[in-house]
Amino acid sequence: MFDRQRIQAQLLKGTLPLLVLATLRDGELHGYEIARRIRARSGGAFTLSEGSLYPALHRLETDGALEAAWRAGEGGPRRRYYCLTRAGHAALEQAEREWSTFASGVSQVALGSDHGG
Amino acid sequence: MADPIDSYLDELERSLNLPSAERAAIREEIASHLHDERSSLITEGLEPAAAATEAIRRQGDAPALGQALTQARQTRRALLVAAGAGTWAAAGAAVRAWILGVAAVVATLLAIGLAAAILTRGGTSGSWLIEDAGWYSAVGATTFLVAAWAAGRMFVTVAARESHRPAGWIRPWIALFGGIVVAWLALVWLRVPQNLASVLVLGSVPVCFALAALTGSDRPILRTRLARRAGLALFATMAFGLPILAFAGTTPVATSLSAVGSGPYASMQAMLHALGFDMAGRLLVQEPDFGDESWSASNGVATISVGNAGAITAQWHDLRIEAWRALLDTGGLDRSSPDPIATAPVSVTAGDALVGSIRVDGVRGVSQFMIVLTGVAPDGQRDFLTSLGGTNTTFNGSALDWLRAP
Repeated sequence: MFDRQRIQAQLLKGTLPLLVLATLRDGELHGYEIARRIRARSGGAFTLSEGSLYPALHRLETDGALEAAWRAGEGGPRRRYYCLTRAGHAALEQAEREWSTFASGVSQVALGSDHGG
Repeated sequence: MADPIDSYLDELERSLNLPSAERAAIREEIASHLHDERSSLITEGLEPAAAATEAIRRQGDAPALGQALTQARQTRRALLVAAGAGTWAAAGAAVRAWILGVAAVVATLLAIGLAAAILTRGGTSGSWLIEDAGWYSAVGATTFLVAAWAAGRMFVTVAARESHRPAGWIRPWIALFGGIVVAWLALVWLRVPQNLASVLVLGSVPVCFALAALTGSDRPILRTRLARRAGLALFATMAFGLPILAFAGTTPVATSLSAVGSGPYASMQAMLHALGFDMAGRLLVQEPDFGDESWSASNGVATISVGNAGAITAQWHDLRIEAWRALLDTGGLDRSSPDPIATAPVSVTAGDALVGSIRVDGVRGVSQFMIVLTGVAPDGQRDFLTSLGGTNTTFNGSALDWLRAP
């Protein structure tokens, strides 16, 4: 009845900015490394569509949540590194609160009140 | 066979509707991602060709990615930022170009002054200043033209960068709206006295801005060492040259300003003829006795008053006050303007005086004027009766007034 990949894609669509901001909390990373860490930290719970990662990164940069700078790679081509701005940190905190409330609400409805936060 | 990653990147770049620098940067970013992904997949055991194909598959459809990246960068906020940043950068570029333009003019004038001094063996006869008849405005307007060109080019570059839109999308808007603003500035400038060259230059300023905008590029401006050195040299020339010019301009020098007025003439008529007053009417052998004479000029209105009104009106009728374009350095009228710039009737007061007022600030291109009194003799000829004085004036009114003015 439900396509698992489609459900994942729809869920990821709204949470991708939060995932990106949270991944960058500890320091600057380039796009490939962000994708790799999200994949690793999720424990394979979902597969990040890499095609949606870069539009999200560029949107966050245009909105002022991220700053990007080119740096030479270690023996390889130079890469574009992203890091959180002050506005990005604030956006991350807000997104985490909203996600917590939202996830709790969804859990209570979908899984019953015992699973609520 | 072409590398599939390169083909993918080519397709992606074509679908990006962004400035060229951003397209190149995104291509480089996605390329590094794909190469990292391919290397990782090869390490996991895939064949190189299969690894490249899988890396591309994970990145998704190239046109869709290009469209998503374009939309991600082209926000309304970016457009607003572009309008502000573009205006600011254009104003800065205009000021820098204007300063460089002034520096170039100063350098040119210094060179002319030096050449003149050498040719006259160091003599100081004559003034270093331009004799103004709208030429100051023409020189200023030329620097305005240079500034408008620089502003147009800079506006496109910065607005394209900040709005994340190709120059081709930005150009017509900047040419249109920026051109209107520049045209308004040029119209404001037209309020000061102009000559034909100045009017032509000012008229071409909005066109120059529009052309600069329409040929502007979204590529970053290269600041070469040569350009920096040239700018510094011009700035230094201005910094040192302006005080020298100012000193030279204010230093009393031997001139021949009053040579015409004080020349050895056989008669007053000959002198008046030499000064061009015969254009205002027949010259009399003897000026009438006006008793008390006075004249004044303020706020664009010149007023003349002479006595013995009864005696004058008995001999001349249709008395009027006339304003003529003048050359105050020679003390006479400008023979290139054979008609008065304005006329007004005079009236007789109770105190037996002839009084008349005339507005002199409503005619284009008049920086100096002379007031004369004329009347028609019994034989029907208009006689030049007297001239009480003249001074400088500037056009007073809006740009629209300037266009309507004679």
